[in-house]
Order: sequence, then C-alpha cells, then structure tokens
Amino acid sequence: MAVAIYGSKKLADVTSEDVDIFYAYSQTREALGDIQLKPLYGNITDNEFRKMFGADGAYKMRLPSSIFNKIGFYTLLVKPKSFEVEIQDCSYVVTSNQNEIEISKKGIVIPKLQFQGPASIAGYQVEYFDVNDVKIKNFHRIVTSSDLVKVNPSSSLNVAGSTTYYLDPAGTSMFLTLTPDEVSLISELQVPNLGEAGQKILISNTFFDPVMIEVEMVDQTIKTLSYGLYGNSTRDLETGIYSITDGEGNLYKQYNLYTRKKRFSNGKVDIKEERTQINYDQNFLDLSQA
Amino acid sequence: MQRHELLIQNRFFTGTPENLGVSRLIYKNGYLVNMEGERDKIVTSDNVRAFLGDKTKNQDIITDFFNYIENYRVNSSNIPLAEAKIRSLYYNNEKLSNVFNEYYNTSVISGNTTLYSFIDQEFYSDSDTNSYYTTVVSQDNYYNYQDFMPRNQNYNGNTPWKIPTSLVELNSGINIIPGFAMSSGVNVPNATTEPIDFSENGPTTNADMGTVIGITNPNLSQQVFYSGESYFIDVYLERTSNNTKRLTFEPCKNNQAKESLLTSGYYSDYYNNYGGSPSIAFTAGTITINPNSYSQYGNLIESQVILSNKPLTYSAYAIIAANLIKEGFIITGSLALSKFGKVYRDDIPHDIDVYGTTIDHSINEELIYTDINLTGSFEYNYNLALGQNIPLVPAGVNKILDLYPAINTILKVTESKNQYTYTYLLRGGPVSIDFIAFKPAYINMYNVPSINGLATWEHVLESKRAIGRPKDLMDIDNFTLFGEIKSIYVNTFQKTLTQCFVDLAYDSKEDGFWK
Repeated sequence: MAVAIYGSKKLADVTSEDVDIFYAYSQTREALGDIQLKPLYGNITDNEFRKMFGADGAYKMRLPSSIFNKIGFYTLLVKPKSFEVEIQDCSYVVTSNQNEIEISKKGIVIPKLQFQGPASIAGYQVEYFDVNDVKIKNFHRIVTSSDLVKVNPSSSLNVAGSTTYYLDPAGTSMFLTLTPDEVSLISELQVPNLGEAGQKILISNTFFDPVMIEVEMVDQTIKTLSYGLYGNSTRDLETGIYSITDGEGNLYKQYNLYTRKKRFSNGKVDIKEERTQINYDQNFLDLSQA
Repeated sequence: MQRHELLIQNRFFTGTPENLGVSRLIYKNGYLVNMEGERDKIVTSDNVRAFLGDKTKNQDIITDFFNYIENYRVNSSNIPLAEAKIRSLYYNNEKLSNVFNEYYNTSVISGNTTLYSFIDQEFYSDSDTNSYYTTVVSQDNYYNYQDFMPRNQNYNGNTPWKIPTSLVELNSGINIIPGFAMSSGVNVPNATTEPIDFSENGPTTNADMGTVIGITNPNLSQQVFYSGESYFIDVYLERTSNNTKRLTFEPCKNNQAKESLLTSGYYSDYYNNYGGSPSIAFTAGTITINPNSYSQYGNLIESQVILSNKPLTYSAYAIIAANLIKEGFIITGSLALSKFGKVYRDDIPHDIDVYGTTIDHSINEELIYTDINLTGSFEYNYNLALGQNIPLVPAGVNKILDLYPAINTILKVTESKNQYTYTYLLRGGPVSIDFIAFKPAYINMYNVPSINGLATWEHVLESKRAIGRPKDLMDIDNFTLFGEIKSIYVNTFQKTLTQCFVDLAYDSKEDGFWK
C-alpha cells in the first residue's frame, strides 16, 4: 500500500511556548539509566528554545550545564506542550437566530484558557484521564472548533447535563467541538466519549511531530585527541613533565614521564602518569623559545 | 533520531565538580543555590531576565511585580537598607528569580498579597549586604495541573498558569511543563513603562534605572547578568501533514440549508410566526410523555391527554409535537411550551429546566414543535407539566391532540448499545441524508406514517439498507442486529453537516485505500 499519500512533510513553525522539553540520563548504554523523563525547564522561553531565522523548522535549544554535567547519554524529548484541564460540562452550544435556523453542536466546555485567541485551539488534540487519573491509552479527539460561550439563561444549573450554551465573545468558558463525536453502534465496547463533566483531559497542540534527540556528553572529541597526536608538546628532561597543549598554546594535558626499576626482578618500566597538579611553568611558548 | 555529541566543558565546573552529580547545592555566582529543584518554578535564574524583559506578553506581571518591589521600599522602616537590598536583588539573577517565583506563586496564581519577607529572606544579614548567600530549597516535583482553574481575575480574565506542586506518579502520564503566555490583549495598568528594565540587557542609562528604588548610578561593570552556562544544539522540527489523516474539518456554518438539517442532534425551527390571538388560557388535561417510548416516534402517545404524571426516566432531549384541535375540526393554533412549560422533579418540587424557543407559530399545519430539554440524570423521575398559562392558544382551542414525544440525541447514556440516532424529517422540500459508513452499517427503519405532509423515511431511504466498506459488506449476512430495533438506528458514524465533526468518509478517493 502506498504510504504518505496525503502529502508531504512541512517544516514546523512553532515558538518556545508550544513545546515541552524532557530529558533522561544514562551513564552508559550498558545500564538502564533513568526510566523517567524529567522536565528540562520549568518555563520555556526564547532563551531556551529559539527559532532560527531564515526558515521554519530549525531551532536552537539551550542545554544548561547544570544538568548536562555528566559524561553519558542524555535523551531529550521535544513534544507539543500539554496542559491539563477539567471538563466543566458536556453539552450543546446553540445558536440563536430569530426566524432563522437554530443550530446546536455538541461538545465539551472547559474554562477559558490563556491562548492567543478563542479560536486558537482548533486542531489541538484532547486526551482523557479515567476515574483513576490514569490517561486512557491510545484514545484522543481532535478539537474542531473552540468558541467562547456563556451559559444559556434558560438553562438550569441544577441538573448536570441540562445546561446549554450560546456563543459570546465575552464568555468565560470555552466550548470545544471534537471529532469524532459519534460512536459506532456495532460495537458495544466503544463509547461516543467526548468526556464528562469533571473529567480531566489533556490538551496539546499538533503543531509538530515530537522528536527525540540524543545528546552524548563526552570528555574527548576527535579534536581533543588530535592534541595528543599533532599538538605542540614539551618534555622536560629535568623534571620528566610532559605537557601537551591545545591549538592555542594552552596546557591541555600534563604527564609525569619516568622510568622505574622493577622491584623484585631486573628490568625497568617506563611510566606515563597524568598529573593532577599542573605545572604552569611548562609554557610552550616560553620553553620553545628558551 | 537527531544526535549530538558534546564535549563536556570543564570550565562550567565552578566550585567542586566532583560533587555536581550528588549535591543539590552548587556554589554559583557567590551563592549556594539548588540547581536540581528549580523546575517547579516559573522562572529560573537563567531565564528570569527573558521573562521579565518580555513586555509584549508579560506587561501586567512585570508592572505588578515592580509595584511589589516599590511598595517594599516605601513601606520599609529603613529605606536606605531596603534600597540596597533592591539593588542587590536587581543585580543578581538568583535573587531576582527567587523573589519573582515567590511573587508569582503568591500573587499571580493565588491572588494573595506577597509578603515583603520574601525579599528579606534573600539576604543573610541586614548588616552585611555584600556577603549574603541563599539556599533555595524546593522539591523535585512533577507537574499536575489539576488546579488549573481561574484563581485571579486581575489579568482581565486570563488565567495565569498554575505552577504545579503536587507529585504525580509517572504512570499517570502527566508530565507537564507550564507554559506561560499572557494574552497580548490584556489591559495594561497605569504604569505603561517600568522605570526598571528587567531585560537581559540591563539598565543602560539612568533613565532606565529610575530613581524610585535608589538605583541612580549603575556601575555596569559590577553587574552580574548571568545567562547560564549552557550548550546549544540545533533542533529540527517538522510537521507531518497527514498526521490527522482521514480527518478533515468542516467549518461551522451558522445557517445551513434547511434540508441539510436532516440530522441528529438538532432540529430546525423555521416556522414563521403568523401570530395567534392570545385569548384564553389553556386549561386542558395532560399529555403523557413517556420518553422511554422513543420507539414510538411517529406514533401517537395518547390523544387528548396532556402531560400526565408518567415519569421521565430517561435522559434525553425531547421534542414535542402537537396538534391543536378545535372541537370537531383542525384549526390553526399555537402552543407555547418553552416559556411556560415546567418540568418538575418528583422529589424536589421546583423547576428543573425548560429549554427551547417558544413556538407561537400557527400556519396551516397541524404539527408544531417545541423542544424541552429534559436531560438529566435518569435516576430521577420527571413530570412534564404544562403550566396553566398558555397564552397563545387561539380562541376555540380546547384540546391539544396528538402530542408526540420523541427523543433526540442522547448524550449521557453510557451503554453504547442504546445509542440511537433520531432524525427528523422536516417539511419544506427535498431532503437528503448523508450517511457515511465508517464501519459496516445497517439501517433499519421504522415505518413512520406520513403525517400531514411531513416527509417520512420512505421518501428518503429504502426501508433497509446496509452501508459500509465493501469488504465488510461482503459479510453483511453475518451481521447480528440488535434485537431491539427502534425507529431507526444507524450503526455508523454519521456525517452531520453542521456539527463540524470530522468526515470519516469512505468515498471514491479512498477506495484504493480500503482495498
């Protein structure tokens, strides 16, 4: 069967407000490591996740050294931002148009959210929690419209489910229509669930596909290894200090070189031992120019 | 998977690097701070400048936060000391973020007054304004937005994001980071320009500093604008355009063609009001409303009986049709149910609900409709009773005949087996029904008699028709229909043109897909 018959990929055009970033750490690939993703930031601003100019799709992400401070593997998950809301009601929104047609739509009512505009979460997905606050797996709905509404004055607030709503830009609740909102009657296992009042839902945007990024923190790169091979170095025959510098003349590694006689047999051992006390007198520029 | 290899930078290891993975306290910028537990706060020292510098989105909060600091100064018994503290606060991202986090949690989220002690506690000693240190203690929690409700209406009704505090188990799937986006449309309070620029750029001129908190001579070289030692990687994000494949969206239309309203979930009230002469109060008897008799749609319940005491034991959306009868012959008439109809609950004798428009039309048709929202828990019994005041019944009408209760879309029923779709055929021209089979479907139609010119199902559909995907229909003989076939049900997703839900259509374009 043909794949991707519906179109092509698009570069995601998102901002720092649209993403959640999580991370997990494993010291090696031989151990399990973290099995729990942690939020990388409490609040993501452009400081942490910034769109690159010139085209969509490319972003700069900041990794704080306070977290990325260990050698090993960091797994990053960048996913659409989610937030949890409680359904206020599941009912109808009714248009009122005298001598015209009165139309009702069924959907869910949630508190007015802090988004760019009342129609801004069309296309978002809704996931549900069950009564035990465990997210229902593999079940979601898509928001097809979101409008600010007020309670219809002819509604009764005393009976759950009897409240209807009407569109009002000054409303304090948001009415979401979802899809699909009909159920297959052939299966008793399916419920036409748009949710119920009091049920918790998780709303997240669908602006981009989640990505997983692996960041390996290493203590050597090819560049630093090249210092040992091709970098300038000094070997002080008086003190036995062997110093390797980076490409800019800075001390990079320093070793003691010495020869020790074996203790219980004849023969000698050449030893190369990394120094922890750096001798800063071993400056390449000074020594090379004597 | 995108992959990066980063050389760990020893230069980031200020203090004692061997303890970084163990101790929560890190010596940073002259302070012992907790870098592990900072994620339950709205800002960190790394981004507090970015947050407070973003006047586009956070104008209100910036202004309020500044006012909080300014009030701290004004109310201080030792103003020079307070100003010294504010200067220290302002020049240090750790302290600034600590205080702002407290302010945010207290004032913005909870709507309470933030204590000035939150500023004081950032300083170890009042007498030593240069060598304080602060220890931030917080729990390494995860995020639960169950309290995501409006707490503070100060921001023009926009809800600030709640900083979560309660621990959530991993398997609940809630790992949520707060996003913060004040609407750009919020009202800006009096101070439209802060005398302090909190942004990362910092104060550059005396004018930026303002004189109110005593910062009049900034020495930029002494300032610590800590932006965080960081690595930066490139991330590529894409969006799969078919990630909601088979889901297409239909825009909401306020006005649909009448014939398009032939669907469940609503019905049209497009009769015009030709008026009636309100004369007599209606004092007829009762009509039985038995919502469980939805199978009897199209049948008369009981003639000449209005609103008896039979209970409504079903959560439903009832539509009532009635003939207004003058003795001996049919005349035009009107009936106002919605304004004066009352629904009483047996155990609690007060009005429950009446919803719908008043039907005060009276053209030459016998059936008039109104709808009464009887939705509710079906644990209760309802009596539907007309009030004694029905003002729009024309003179001479002394009976209401042929009251048809019908159940429209049922929302609150948990047994999917009982989900039936009721579709009303309205008068007024050709109709079409657009049943779209997502799964194999079988329409079994109750033979509704033609009533006074109303269209019936025979005009639209064959009495039985299976619809569905071709490969499923091959097995149509194996279908087991519910034993309790009602007037009509369609075990399919039904395309309802005005409900804006996704078209799960099987159509010609997808023929190859299904095969």
